[in-house]
Amino acid sequence: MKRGFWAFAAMLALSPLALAQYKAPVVKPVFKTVWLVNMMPLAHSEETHRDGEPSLAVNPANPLQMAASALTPDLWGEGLHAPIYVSSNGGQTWRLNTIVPFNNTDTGTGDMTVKFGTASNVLYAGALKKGPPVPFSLQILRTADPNGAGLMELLQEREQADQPWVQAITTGSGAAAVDRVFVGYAQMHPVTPPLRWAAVDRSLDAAKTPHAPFSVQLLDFRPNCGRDGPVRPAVHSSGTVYAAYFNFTACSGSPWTANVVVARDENWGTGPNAFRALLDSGTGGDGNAGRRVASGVTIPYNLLLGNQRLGSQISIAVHPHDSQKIYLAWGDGALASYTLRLRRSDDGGATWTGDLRTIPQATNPSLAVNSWGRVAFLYQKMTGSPPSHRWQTWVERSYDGFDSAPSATMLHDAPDVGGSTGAGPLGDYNDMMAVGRNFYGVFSGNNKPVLANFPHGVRYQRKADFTTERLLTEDGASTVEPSMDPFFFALREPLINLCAIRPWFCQNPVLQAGAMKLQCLMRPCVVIDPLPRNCLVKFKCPGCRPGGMCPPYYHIHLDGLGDDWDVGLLDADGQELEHELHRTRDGTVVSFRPSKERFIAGSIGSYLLAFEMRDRARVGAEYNVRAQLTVGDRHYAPKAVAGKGR
Amino acid sequence: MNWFRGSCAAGLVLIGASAAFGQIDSLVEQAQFVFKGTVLRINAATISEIQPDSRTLVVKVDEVLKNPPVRTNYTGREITVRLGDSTKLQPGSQFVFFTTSWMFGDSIAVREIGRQPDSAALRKQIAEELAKAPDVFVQRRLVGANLVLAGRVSAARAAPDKVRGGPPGEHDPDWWEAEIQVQSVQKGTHTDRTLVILFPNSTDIFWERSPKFRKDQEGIWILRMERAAGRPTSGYYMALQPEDFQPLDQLARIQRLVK
Repeated sequence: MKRGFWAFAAMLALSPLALAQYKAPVVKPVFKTVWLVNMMPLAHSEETHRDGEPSLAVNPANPLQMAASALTPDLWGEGLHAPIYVSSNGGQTWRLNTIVPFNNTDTGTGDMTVKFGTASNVLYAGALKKGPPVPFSLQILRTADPNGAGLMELLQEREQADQPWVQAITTGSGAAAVDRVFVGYAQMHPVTPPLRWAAVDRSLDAAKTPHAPFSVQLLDFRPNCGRDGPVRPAVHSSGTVYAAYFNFTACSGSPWTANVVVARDENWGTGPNAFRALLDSGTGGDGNAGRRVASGVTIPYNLLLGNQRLGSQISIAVHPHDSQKIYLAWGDGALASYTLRLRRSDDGGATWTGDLRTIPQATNPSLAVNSWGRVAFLYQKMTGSPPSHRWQTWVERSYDGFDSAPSATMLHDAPDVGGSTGAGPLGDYNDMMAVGRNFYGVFSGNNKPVLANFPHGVRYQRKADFTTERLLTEDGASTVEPSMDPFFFALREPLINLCAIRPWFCQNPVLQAGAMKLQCLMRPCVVIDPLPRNCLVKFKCPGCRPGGMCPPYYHIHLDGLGDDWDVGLLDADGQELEHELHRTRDGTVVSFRPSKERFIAGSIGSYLLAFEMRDRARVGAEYNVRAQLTVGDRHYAPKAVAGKGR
Repeated sequence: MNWFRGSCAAGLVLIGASAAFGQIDSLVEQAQFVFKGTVLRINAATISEIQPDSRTLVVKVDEVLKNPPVRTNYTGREITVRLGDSTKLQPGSQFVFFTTSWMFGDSIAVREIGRQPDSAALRKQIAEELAKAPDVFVQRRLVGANLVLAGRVSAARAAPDKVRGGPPGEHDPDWWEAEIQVQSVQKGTHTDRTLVILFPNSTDIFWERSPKFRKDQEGIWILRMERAAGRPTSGYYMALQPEDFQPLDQLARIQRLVK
């Protein structure tokens, strides 16, 4: 019957504009609203390591490309190169690629974080290398090809720096584009007396060869007790850079005492007074650079919550469209009352709210703000009583900066296992970031394959039997003991929800025959284009015939979008629908199968196209997009469609 | 680069020609995975995300000659090999590949660091080198050691504050001293009856594999004057690697390896 319909449908199909310019097809995966993957590859199925402290990099220029790190050694032992995790399909599958130019036999690397330049496709990393000749050193690395065989290139090495936290941003365009890279860490230089200061290492052009040199910017000019805690930088495209850290004021015995400090710079951390733009002024202020958000808090340094080491938990995030709006989370309190706190500043760190959220007995906070200003707060909370402690991994999201109760999503709930050595089973941190409106993150957790531990489901790559709740060797022949693995998650933010809350950010296109015009006068912006309306103006739609006979596939050709827009397919309720996205030189082909649920006799059905403006798109610019609809009896392929159309 | 390390010194190692067997020892030591394999496809890969080029091949593992320390048996598997040079290999050709890990996904990919035609002589030499393997790590530590001695720990205690430095960070070694009653010196010079060495007592990931010493412990110490940046640890000998401390019943072996 469908073939019969096609005799009619083929008459309507138009030759695709994209055909002549078609390059390699790129299929955009469709994610569930909550997507969780155990990142350990099948070929690493027999590993039992404590793969804690994960970090994540999603390439903003191509969100399908991702890289991640954890304390994961080479399964084969005494190798020369430690692995990182890489994905080229949006985190659906992950591989380990041994491209770090050194290897610590037990852990791969020490503490390591990764981030991409926002438009350069270059991946940067800060990683601790175990000595000799020194106990450990920091290496700042880069690669333009995380999937390749080439080793990451060493840009800078520093002795004795702890918890390197890398952030990168691309500014400018074309030949003037530069990657500005910031690596925050607790510095422990071999100077007598030991000066252990919070620092940010920054390069103002790290993608170039040779790269602009890294320069150490010291943050903490207050008295300290001989060291500072870890440093977390947050970078805004305006040139504003924040750095959050603990200024330890008493550190003999335990617990320690600290000030929670946020420093700010307004010109990429340059100049003789770098990171001194924010003074601790006003009532109770000490006049020093760096605002004390909290003073004299208790830090149970190196004490254990369950099996988990505490003492360095802090995170900061800046709103991508408002450099003055920042969020800060940290953990403090005596062990029994240890609590994560979340606060916000709307004036660049000068003043702060009180605690917007308090999460007792939790650790590893991570914050991110998406392009719509929605804030996400990732943490891992201990529940239960010894010896039955469990770790729950939660993400809370708020549309209003946590002024009201957030929505909460639990990703994982599993027993606390693993030794109490080192950083503990989870590691000292996890990581989360936003690209566009979506959140992506990584955390470490107990990898026992128990479905009940994953309220939103999970995908395992390593060999696992959820029926018998056993991990297996790759050949399935032997049982593998549970351990700690890194997990990747993606939280998709439905556009319609956002349009309902922020309707002024959602626009309609101007339609005309064979084309439409997209224009946004502010950021963020999404243009919603109901397909049935297109059929009246933009192009002819074959639609479905009475009885449910629809074309097997629709292919919507959109030329003129460049790389400035993300395109999605939604149903009438705004939920993302399964579709393929093929990139052509000038545009995009959205290909999908009409479903019975959205069948409307005589119509194409209730579908919406959503065009979300990327950061690189120009506000106020008119984008004239040529549009055509073709139909096919199979997935989009240029030759097959051409044959039918012509 | 390790690629055909010996080839520069001994002339080009031609694939299909006899190899200089003097190089095999280092290849066996450096390679994590040595196998005889058959080239199945060129410009191909078993991991879809690898962009095949003239240096990527799909090779069937016919026989494993040195297995990585894993339970998985790779015999019969098709894997990806990234050649270390631009030699054009033909499908159906067979070699012994010396490789290190590259990529782990649904399949595995390896980097080639050496390649030899299969032969009885080659296998004999590989077997001989593998038989030496248990001694290789210890021997490597012995070569660079300043002092090797046998003895017994008479005391273990936290190092003085001036050595421990300021407040400990997460990766601080937590330096302790071990006082050793020296029974014999196997390498280097030490005339006193006791020696105080430094060891990291931390269980942090950076230090958990370093030997920890306690009173009355007996053994053989392979010691170095390590540099510990930021700390006045100069003048101390240290044993930081797991191989740096051996049970006393290994004395004869150590004496043999020291020579």
